[in-house]
Amino acid sequence: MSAAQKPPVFSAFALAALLIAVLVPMAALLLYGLSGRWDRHWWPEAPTLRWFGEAVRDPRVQGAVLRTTALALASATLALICGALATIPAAIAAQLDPHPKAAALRRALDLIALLPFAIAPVVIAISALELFVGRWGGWLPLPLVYVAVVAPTLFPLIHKTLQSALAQLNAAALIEAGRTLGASDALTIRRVLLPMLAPALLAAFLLAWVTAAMEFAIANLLLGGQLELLQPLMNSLRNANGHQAAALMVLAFAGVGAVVAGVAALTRRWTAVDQPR
Amino acid sequence: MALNAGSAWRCAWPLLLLTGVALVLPFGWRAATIFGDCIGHGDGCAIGELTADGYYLEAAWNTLWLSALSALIGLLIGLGAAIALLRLPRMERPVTLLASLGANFSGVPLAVALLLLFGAQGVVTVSLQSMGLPPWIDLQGLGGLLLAYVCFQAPLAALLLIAPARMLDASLQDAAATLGAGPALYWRRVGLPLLLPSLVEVFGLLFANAAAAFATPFALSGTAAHVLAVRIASLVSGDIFAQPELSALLALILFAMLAAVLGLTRWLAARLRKGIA
Repeated sequence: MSAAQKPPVFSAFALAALLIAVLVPMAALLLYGLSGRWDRHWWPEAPTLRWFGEAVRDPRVQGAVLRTTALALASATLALICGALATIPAAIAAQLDPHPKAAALRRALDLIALLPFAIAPVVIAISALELFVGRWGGWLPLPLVYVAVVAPTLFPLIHKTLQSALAQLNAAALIEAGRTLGASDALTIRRVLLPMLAPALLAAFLLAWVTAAMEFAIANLLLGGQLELLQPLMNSLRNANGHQAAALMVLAFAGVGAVVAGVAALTRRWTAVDQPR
Repeated sequence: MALNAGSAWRCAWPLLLLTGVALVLPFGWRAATIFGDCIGHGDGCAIGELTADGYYLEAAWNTLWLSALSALIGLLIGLGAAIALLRLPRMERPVTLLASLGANFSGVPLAVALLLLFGAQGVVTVSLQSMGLPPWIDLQGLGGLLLAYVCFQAPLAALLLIAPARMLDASLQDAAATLGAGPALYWRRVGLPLLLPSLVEVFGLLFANAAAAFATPFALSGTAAHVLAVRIASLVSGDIFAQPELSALLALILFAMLAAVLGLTRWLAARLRKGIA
């Protein structure tokens, strides 16, 4: 290895800093959830699984988990259907069709994928609250408003995941091959493209689902006292019983970790299929 | 059905409709109400309240520098980690997984973890006290917010920079070394210029991520957190009395800030990629 291949010294420090910034808070939470008390010394005391057991059995927690899972599932499904329907044809059309309308659509979708970053979740929640609940008299069911408002904030994840998968597939060439063989575009999409995209679609869906489930601002401000979701529950629980709240957070993040690992395995599969190394 | 620009646009309609109704309509309606008020009533509108004292402008300023600084620190750590991983390919998978967990580890769980460590009764604070040392950081102050932001900015930056960093493969470094370029020259003339467009783009996303953050400052210091996102929310669900107009005006300021930074960084990144700037 030559001298030039050695990365700058600061990169090792940066990697260490990254690991500290991620691992130390998580470890603190885990230790707190596993200990009877941690307020007398610098070390935690009385190891126990009690808080985990209580967190799992608490009907308030169970209700919040169920509601969060269901609402996040609905938001992610809506985002995936609308997002896939927009992103997949737009990306292929941009390669197939030289018409400026195709390039315009691509730009429009990129802009829509940027919109949730420009309009902060707090602003989204309060604006929706004032218009849909305050102005329109609350005849819209609140869970429906929540799902509809959260779904567009998930579109960037879906857009990005599908776009990179489509870039690897060279989808336009597949459609053209199908046309040469006399297949309609719809048939090629249904029988060839969608099965190849299935892991990417699943990965995008899982990412969107986890992101929606871990959302705080909209859940807290829009649903407020009416429907308690997981993140707001964690926030109110921590004042009542910090240890149990920590146990609940550890469990929630174990779930997030499992899904994220699943997504990593899925995306690795579809990148590995296309680029054998 | 033939796939072309026209049919792709038709497929995108559900997404356009959803985004329009759930995101753009409430936000636009609220912005229009504010403008209507200000044109109708002259100086009785929210702009007067905004400029009456520096309180809310200070929140905007805090948001601006906290977001910029946490994005820069996150970028530095993320870039260093991504470069370090070039030499440690076996660590890439676990670090990527940890980083995606860390990027999601924000809001209530992060606040609880940091309070456990550095809060007034926190482990580190109490240990320092027993040694007769002053507390390391005031977690409820702006320094604490900066620390918390870096904890989720650094993993997000690493996550977004690992793929661009792969452009700097070993052959490039070998070629530079063969031509007599030392590590410093290589990084200054080859490595960083290649990464610069990605760095600029990721900075924009990190800035938006921090400026829009509501859960973390709210969970850390409640409504006392002096940043725009928390002010916007506390002005409608107010502790004392609600000022929805002022909240809407602050939301517009936050939007303008985010749109400017996102637009500018994307424009700059595109120019850098074309080699113009």
